Amino acid sequence: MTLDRMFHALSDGTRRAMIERLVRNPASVSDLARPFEMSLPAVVQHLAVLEAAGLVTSQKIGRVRTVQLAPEALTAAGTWIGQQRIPAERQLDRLGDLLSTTPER
Amino acid sequence: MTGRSQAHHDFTLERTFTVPVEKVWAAFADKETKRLWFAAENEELSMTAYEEDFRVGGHGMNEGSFHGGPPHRFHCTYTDIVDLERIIYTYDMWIGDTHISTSITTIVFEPADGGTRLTLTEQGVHLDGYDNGEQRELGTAGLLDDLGATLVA
Repeated sequence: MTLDRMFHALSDGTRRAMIERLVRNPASVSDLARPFEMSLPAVVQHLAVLEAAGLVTSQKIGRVRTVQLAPEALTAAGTWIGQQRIPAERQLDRLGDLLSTTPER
Repeated sequence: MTGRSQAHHDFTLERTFTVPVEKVWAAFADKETKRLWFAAENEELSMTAYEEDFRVGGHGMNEGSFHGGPPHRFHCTYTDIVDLERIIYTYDMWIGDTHISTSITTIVFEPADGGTRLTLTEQGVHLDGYDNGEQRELGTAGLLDDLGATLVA
């Protein structure tokens, strides 16, 4: 199941840090690896998990493999999290929407 | 559903709104304003009844159904109202003829940073295991509301 793979991919701090880095712009594998104290193969393994979850894609041009965040990649996870709200939270969400959109009387 | 069960559950939600207490209060005290957020219809939920008698001893009620399913009914009794400061009510939820919960809701309003801090505490007992699936339904309906609100914002 896609959500299982997605949340598994997100369950690791290194992989989340990679995603946070890739939100800014695409990066080569070696650039991505730089901040982490781990071997290149270990980094590649983390990237494979992210890629299997559909969160990143990569492309090799010449000798350089570039990794980028897949557009809308986290939407499914965000939607699932957004749904797990109790009715009272929903109602207060709507109250907030109402209070921020109604003009002052 | 077989057998009886009672699940007690308390929770507190806190929100800060960027409008004065008077305006937040009006969204609770004014029947038609409250309907807009408390008993709003959407694609999933059609409302069949809405009543509001905002005074100590007064009742609020709303009833609606999801996709034409059995009616979900909310019925409350206001037990404490301190103008611009506090609202307390007890409420029951029913699905069709099945009583699913009884709760006490305490809502406190405080000025905060030019806006209003609202603290809502619920203490409830959920009966016979009926609640979960239905809550999911409500939650999903609410999500669509939020989506709609986001799209028009």
